[in-house]
Amino acid sequence: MTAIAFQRCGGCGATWYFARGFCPRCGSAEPERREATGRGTVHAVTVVSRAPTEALRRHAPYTLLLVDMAEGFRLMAHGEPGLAIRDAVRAEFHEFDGATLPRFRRAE
Amino acid sequence: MTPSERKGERMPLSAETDTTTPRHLRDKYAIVGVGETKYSRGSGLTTRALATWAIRNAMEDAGLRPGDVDGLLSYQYGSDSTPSTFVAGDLGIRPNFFMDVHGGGSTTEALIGMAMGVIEAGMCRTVAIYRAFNGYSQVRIGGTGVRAAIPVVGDALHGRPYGWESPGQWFAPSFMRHMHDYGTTPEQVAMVKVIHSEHASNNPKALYPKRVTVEDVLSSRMICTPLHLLDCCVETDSGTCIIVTRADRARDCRHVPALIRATVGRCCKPRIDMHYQAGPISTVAAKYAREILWPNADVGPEEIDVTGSYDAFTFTTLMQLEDYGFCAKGEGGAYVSDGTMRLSGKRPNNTSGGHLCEGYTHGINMVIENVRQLRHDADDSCPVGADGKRIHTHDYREGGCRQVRDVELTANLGWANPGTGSALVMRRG
Repeated sequence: MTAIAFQRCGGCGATWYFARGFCPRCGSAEPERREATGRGTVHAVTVVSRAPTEALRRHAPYTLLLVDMAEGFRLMAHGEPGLAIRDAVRAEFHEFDGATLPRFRRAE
Repeated sequence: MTPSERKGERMPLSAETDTTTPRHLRDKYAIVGVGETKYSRGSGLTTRALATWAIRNAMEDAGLRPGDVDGLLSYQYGSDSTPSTFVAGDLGIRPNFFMDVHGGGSTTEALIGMAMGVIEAGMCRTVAIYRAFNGYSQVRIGGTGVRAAIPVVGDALHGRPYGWESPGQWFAPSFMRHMHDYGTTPEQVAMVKVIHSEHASNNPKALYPKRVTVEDVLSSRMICTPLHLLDCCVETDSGTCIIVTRADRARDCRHVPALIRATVGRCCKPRIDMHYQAGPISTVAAKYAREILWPNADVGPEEIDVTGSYDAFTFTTLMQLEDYGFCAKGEGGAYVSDGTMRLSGKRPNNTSGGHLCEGYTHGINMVIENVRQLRHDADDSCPVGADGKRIHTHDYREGGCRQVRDVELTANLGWANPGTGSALVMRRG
């Protein structure tokens, strides 16, 4: 099943999104891989009207999000139209230009 | 130290590290020459030709011959320029030092500091810093044109799947969050473009010299929220150059020198790879850079007469002025819209029209403009007197003067992204 993976430091408890060999906060080299619940809050949102490349033109407009996840890390993702900062959201996934990406919807 | 020994120990942040330059360098170096080619959309020239013309014009401005310049520094973004090794020979310069670095915005001020360093180290005497690129007709910053064929590497890799790969998109989350956190409005921010267009209308070199209104900005098409087309700078072809040497040598040059009080180079927020990942994104690297800039310059923002706050977008001007302390945190919207930044205002900003109107150069034209302001010789349409200097009227109506009265201190606030910035304070010599 598709899920958002993140890492948690066994030493200091810090969490982060992109996989690393050691903790960027305390340097401990024992990060644990976890799967997120998919719940979070919109930290920032921008709607892209003018796609940056020809390949993405057919997708515009699309909504880019920064999401503060319940587990304490922040990630970039796509979102459904109309989301605003502070909205509670939950992750789903969609295909975008050949990749599977997290796409958030408003949480009920 | 092994990772387990480091356990529990926090790595130092930039603001906690003593990175200040020695204060004995204050006013020891100067910018003595500035030059540029035409700002255009379609130069019809190679970047090699743009670079050589810009350096030649700067040498002529300073009253220097090719044999007087023995150092070259340039910057390029994704191999969009020609390196010093080709440019030097065309100009008859034999370098004792050269270096071509990667980078776009915020590089200018950093290279000025590096030029001081290499001269101080005895490696050369006089350094020409140049930026030459066909930012419209060749390698466009937004990802289209030739840039579309350039491989995506490094930090840019993670943004591509999301369609997050142009500067406007990179910075937009910070701008949106600033509006949310502090109530900054699109109308306030549009005033940055309005005011810079007023300045450009008094600059015969400006690519976009037409004055615009808040309504013009807000009714232009949306690129990505909150950026309308007119919130974005103008992709430009140009070559630009500044010449740095020691202040005692500057006395032999043609103009009043612009003495360098302090530089900060590519100062960063705690995470610069993906700046948005942690912490408040409505605060930018200036928060850290100001802790170096003002003590080194031995002046504060309230003493600065003219600012050059990087305007890749209207919002970048605002966020930097705010975080360098020209107004209280969160009051940037009021600062940029209350008339302070006008030529007739308390502290004019980007008096050439900046990236939004004069032309996009990755920051160097804003330093060139402040050098001219410090000489009291802005190249506007005012009449030239018998001594060859313009007689400035200080009538700032459209098509008129753009020289600010009695400029003694200027600040340049360079921007790479929300996570990285550079700065420069200069004084009239």
